[in-house]
Amino acid sequence: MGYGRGLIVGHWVTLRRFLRTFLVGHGRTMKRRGGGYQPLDFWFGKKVRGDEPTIQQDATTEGLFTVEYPDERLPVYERFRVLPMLVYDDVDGNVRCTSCNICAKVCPPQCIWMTHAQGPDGKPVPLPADFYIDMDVCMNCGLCAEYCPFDAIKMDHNFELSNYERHQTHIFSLQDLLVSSEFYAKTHPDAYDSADEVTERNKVAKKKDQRLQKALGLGAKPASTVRPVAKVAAAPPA
Amino acid sequence: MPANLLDEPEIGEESKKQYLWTLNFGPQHPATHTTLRLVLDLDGERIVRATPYIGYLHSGFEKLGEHLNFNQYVTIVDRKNYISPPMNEVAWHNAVEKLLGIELTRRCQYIRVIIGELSRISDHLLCAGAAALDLGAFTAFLFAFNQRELIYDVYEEMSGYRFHPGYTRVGGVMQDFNDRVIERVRAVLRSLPKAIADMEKLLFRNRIFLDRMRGVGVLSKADAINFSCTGPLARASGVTYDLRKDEPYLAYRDFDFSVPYATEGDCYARFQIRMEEIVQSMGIVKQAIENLPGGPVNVPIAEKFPMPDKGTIYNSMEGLIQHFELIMPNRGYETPKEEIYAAIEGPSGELGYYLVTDGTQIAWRTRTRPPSFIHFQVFPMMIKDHLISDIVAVLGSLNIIAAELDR
Ligand code: SF4
Ligand code: SF4
Repeated sequence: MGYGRGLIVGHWVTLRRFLRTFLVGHGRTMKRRGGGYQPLDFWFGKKVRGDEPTIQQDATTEGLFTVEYPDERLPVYERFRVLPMLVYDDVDGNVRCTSCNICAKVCPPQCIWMTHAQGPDGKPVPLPADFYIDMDVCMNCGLCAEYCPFDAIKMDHNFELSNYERHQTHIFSLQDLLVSSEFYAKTHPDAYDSADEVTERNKVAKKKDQRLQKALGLGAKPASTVRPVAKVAAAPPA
Repeated sequence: MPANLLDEPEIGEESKKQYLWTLNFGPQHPATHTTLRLVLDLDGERIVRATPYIGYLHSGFEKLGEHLNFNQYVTIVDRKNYISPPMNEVAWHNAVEKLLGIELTRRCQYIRVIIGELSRISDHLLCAGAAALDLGAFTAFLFAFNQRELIYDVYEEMSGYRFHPGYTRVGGVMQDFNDRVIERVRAVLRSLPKAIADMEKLLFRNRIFLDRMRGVGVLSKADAINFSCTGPLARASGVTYDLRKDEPYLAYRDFDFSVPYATEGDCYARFQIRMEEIVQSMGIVKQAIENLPGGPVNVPIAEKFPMPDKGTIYNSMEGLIQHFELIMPNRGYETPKEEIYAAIEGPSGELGYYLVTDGTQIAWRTRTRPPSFIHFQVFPMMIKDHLISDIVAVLGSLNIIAAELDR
């Protein structure tokens, strides 16, 4: 008899946990705690890639929990850091990076290298002509983002980086690394609104835009339409 | 083999030796946790002599310290004791700040205490859990590991990385604690007591566990002192030595906690010390998080060594100049030409750094004093005359981390 009782208790614990997985709301159907796919969604409402629901989960969340990655995800922490990304300003289209080489110097495994851009008159322009990061070597330490004096390099959240081929695809160039400041504001809302970065945008970015216009000989301001890549391409190769 | 066969008079000294046979234990044995190798001379199942061989995980971490500056090297010290990375960072920058004579702000001291104690908790949880796992008690290990995940959540929220946070900097930390981090620390504190109670329920009255831990691997008090053991290993043998009490660093004077010790010196005593230290560390974290001082977290830039924050760089000339000087290798600040040793109480013992500097921003020599290296030398003595199956119990209670041992 003793064994039978133990069995029943064990099953009851499992059943209770299963039931706790769902909240039964007022007049609503069963709802899974923490969000994510609801029971019927698996057949009818499947989301496309990139639009997956995130599951909110903490120490107090009860019930049976399996986050069915990649159909569901856990929320990403704001300070989460994977590879660096280079930010360009949406307003004037400038790549913030001035190719000052500071990040390349501070990078512990030395996986950043870059070339300066040149203006039409052959003078150096504070822009990178190209910028490479070897993602196989990068250890995601975030020192480059910390040391960059222009808030140009930031840590990305995209951790799904696996590939079938590593010699070509794993060296990220400027094209792979560029993201808009809008994207950055979305992934890092707290940092974007912090006093430090607001100052940077108001003070440094404006000055830089004027200097760039001059160096590239573009004259006054058609800037909002000019995309950064176009500017770099306009510069003749060294 | 009957035990008295060796005592037969017609078997001489020479032929007795032939009964010893040699067994390689490791370096790939799962119970050695990483890559420890032991060569055992066995008489039946009794260990006559155990010879540890080290160096299978040698990664040149100390040499890297001669190429990377004080802030860059924090990414490497993380990888030494990978069970409790923030403790290594606190130890490393503790030594650097002693060298440079930097006095940290109150908030920074508290934050370092919090991350240090959290990593002590996670180290002890893994060690106690894995000791149980090696002896066959799988459930307790999972309870312990669940809590470690919550502590990793704290690391990730504060620094962005779960396993190797790289969080401290010369004179401060990478980014200040925000409300979300504090909430996560509170979540750990909320759920930890229940997990500890679960583990105690599963283990403290578990007959198999007790029989395999009690009286196994006894280390006497005299031996603990002679072999310069520290941490839970020494405290389980009756040496009440804890740097947090004896040479208080950071803000440990502010907190009310006690140092548990036992006198038996066996595996079970070490296990109990670890469980009790988790409770004590929890108390420290609770006090620190409730009384977290406000104010700046990094030392002011007048100190010349810290990295100024972005607001200072953009708004003041001094900040801009200092930022420039810090990153230009040929300019930079000058360190004193000195040799210093600074140690903190790591999870498994005294964790110290011996720094020799020659005036540049990069140390000339960074010698680590890892507890594992000291404790592994006691192992052959402790395991003598035990059975093979006791190896896992004793190794588990010593908490040897191969990356830290071989560096
Ligand atoms: S990313 Fe920043 S630090 Fe690196 S070269 Fe560009 S501006 Fe300089
Ligand atoms: S994250 Fe670290 S390793 Fe990666 S590029 Fe930046 S500095 Fe280098």
